[in-house]
Amino acid sequence: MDKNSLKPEQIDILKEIGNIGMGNATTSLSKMLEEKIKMDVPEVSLISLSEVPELVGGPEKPVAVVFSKALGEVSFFIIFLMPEHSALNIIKALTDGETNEFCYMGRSVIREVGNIVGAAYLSALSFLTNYTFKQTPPILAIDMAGAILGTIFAEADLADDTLLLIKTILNTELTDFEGYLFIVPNWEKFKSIVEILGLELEE
Amino acid sequence: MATILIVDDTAFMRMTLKNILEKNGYEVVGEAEDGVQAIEKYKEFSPALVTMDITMPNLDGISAIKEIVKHDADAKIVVCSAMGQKSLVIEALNAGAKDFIVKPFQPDRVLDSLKKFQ
Repeated sequence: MDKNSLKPEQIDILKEIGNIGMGNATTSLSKMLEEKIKMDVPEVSLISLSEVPELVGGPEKPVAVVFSKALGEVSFFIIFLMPEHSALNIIKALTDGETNEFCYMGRSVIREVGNIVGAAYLSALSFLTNYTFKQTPPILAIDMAGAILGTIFAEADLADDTLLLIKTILNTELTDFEGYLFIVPNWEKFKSIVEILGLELEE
Repeated sequence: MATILIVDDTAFMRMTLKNILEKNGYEVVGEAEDGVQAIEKYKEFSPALVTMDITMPNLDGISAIKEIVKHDADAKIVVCSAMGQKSLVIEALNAGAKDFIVKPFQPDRVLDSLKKFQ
């Protein structure tokens, strides 16, 4: 299955889940940073695997990635990718300027940010579907985008080529931050979510 | 001074909680990084209160709550987790947790909750 086999209204539903999920995530980040965060409207799109590295600035772009698997009636991977400078900015903000490198504590900050963003997306999905999702403990990788994404996609054993991408840029007065959330579903199974939501919308 | 055990797999979150709690007169007697350690340290220190994460390696927080409550029916455990889905909140409360705080939290939310169980 690829993105062309989804109906436009099904894509709209996926976008809506993305919007609500990212809205939850932004509220969460804003609370963590104790700052008002301005969020550009998230761009939600379906893209091919091969488009991912270019999208985040090229395969050699240094990034921090937090990924975990959501487990439930439907399982899928959640990947939260931040450019290196965004990751360092958020470490600095959350440790009150005490850390601005990928040391033990810095890595721990990024892992928790990724965890909270992923959980916020799952809360939105759970609220809309009544499904319950658990999550594996998130794993953090810091490397070039191409290297990390290649490893994760091999691990995900993807049968399909299409990803759901939710890109958002968040700005605060003190912290520049940009993050990309990727949902990597097994589409055959993920379709049941779209169908459930589609039926609900028709009621 | 009430004793407390902090359970979270993320060092940053343990540090954040520890700062909040120590500033407000709690004695952090132990920290655990997963559910297995949480059970061991609960038995070792018999803390008055526990903060418990849910998503953790080796043994998750809900399983750890069940084990701790089996050992001590009066255990006072407050969940601090990013997983705020309604069904998971209910599952944690049914397992024996006294309260459920969704991350990220304001310090007052944690302190207000813990005060109720002292």
